[in-house]
Amino acid sequence: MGVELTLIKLRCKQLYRALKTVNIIKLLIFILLLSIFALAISQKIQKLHSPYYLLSLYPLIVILTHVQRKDYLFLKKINISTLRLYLLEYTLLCIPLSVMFCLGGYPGLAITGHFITILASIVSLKLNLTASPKPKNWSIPLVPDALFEWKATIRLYNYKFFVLWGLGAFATIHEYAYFFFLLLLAPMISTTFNPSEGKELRPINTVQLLLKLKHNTCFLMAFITPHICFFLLCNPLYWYIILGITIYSILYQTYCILHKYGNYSQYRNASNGIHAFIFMLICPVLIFSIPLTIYSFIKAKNNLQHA
Amino acid sequence: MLEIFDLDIAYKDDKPVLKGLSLSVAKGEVFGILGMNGAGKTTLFNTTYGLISPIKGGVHLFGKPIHYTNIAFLETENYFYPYIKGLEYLNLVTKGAFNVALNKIFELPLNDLVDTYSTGMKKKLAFWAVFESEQELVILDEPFNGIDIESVECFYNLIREMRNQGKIIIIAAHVIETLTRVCDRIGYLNGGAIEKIYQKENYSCLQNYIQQLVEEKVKNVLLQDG
Repeated sequence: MGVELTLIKLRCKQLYRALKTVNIIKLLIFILLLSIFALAISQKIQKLHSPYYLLSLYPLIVILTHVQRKDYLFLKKINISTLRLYLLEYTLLCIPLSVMFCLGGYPGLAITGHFITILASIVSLKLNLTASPKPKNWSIPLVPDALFEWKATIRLYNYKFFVLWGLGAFATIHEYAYFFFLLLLAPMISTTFNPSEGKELRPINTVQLLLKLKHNTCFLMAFITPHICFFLLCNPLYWYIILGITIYSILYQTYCILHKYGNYSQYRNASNGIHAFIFMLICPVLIFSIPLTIYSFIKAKNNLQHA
Repeated sequence: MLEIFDLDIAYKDDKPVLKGLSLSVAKGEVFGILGMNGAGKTTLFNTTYGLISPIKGGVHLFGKPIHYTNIAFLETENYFYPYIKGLEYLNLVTKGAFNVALNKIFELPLNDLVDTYSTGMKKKLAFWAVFESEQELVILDEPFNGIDIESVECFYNLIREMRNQGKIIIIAAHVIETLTRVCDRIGYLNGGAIEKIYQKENYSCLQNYIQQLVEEKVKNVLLQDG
């Protein structure tokens, strides 16, 4: 257990160092928004008469975190018990969710959720659901070359990406489909727009930037259309939820692209990650998110002009 | 002794990468593997490390099927956690059993975050961890990529030191000179198998052979282009 605990301690240090790079005001806004969000969710949970489907959040958190791991070989190298480490890490990761369930008056859900976490960790390990460290040249005929960010992500996760996407459809059965959005689509968009291209692949003017936004929006819509149809088929009266999710996804993706081109090469930085996360939370408040997107557009435009 | 026998590897829907590859390396020997890009050097190492399952054949160490815990592996590109310090990395990989005095050779800012290191510095850090390891088999995949001349010389000396400790060392490289300086034997990997093994006294033959091979290739291409 020693090495696993050392690694967990190191994880805490990593988090502390990452947060140290973030501006204190930004950090306070982030904490405030996160608390409001958590309270709002726990109040929503209290009103639910059958919240058991929310247990699906546990495996979603575990699998989404697991598919993004790139340290498989490194862990093998330091001869660590990967299962023990995954169990520890994912259990810690799911604690905030369990706290929300406890606040919402469902401690039983939290306990069951942790059992599901254990199961999901074992399944992830046995199925080796990690991203390929060296993506193969997988031909993706349906995705045009201009969408190289999406292509890179799909190539990295290959079939696992589509498995997750397929699983996402089942998360849309209920009217609270935004959980699906937050836990599946938002991290996917965030990963997709990590800077992966060289300078030569940047859009070089505003027209090209707008074209990029258009292409990506079209792709995103095509990407989530099966989920939308599936959701509407199960919940035809809740069309407004789907409308909200669509606006949310387009706005968040637009912001991610603009943020990337406005702060090129720094997107992986924790500060920018938190920036994107803050946007993810305030995105539904259009009075804030729309001006912020316009500001990002101007910033990206200027950045590209002076590149 | 390391024994690789009759190894067949193929990726899905692709032609075979390794075909009937056999090789044996003795204890305390440095064996170099030379090959063009895509010849299958990394595939061979990944198979030895257990990351790829062979269609046929296998790898034995001292008569027993090999296990990754017996191997110290330096990959072409090493993984480092973000926001981790050099010292923490060494502590983690070597479980605290490393000689800090060696930093006089590596000259690394161990208290700085690895994210701030250059490619060469990252390579040196990973090499240091491999050097300190106690495994009997050491695999070095392109260890000289991205490091300065002085560090290359240091690496040569440290590889010789590992050989003196009785370890089995396999090194892959693209540049023949890096191998001739430190290897006891060099195998030329071509067509999915070790085409020929060259002893120290025949290294000049290997150099001439590759030179001829490339010259013919260039001539043919230029002739075809008119």
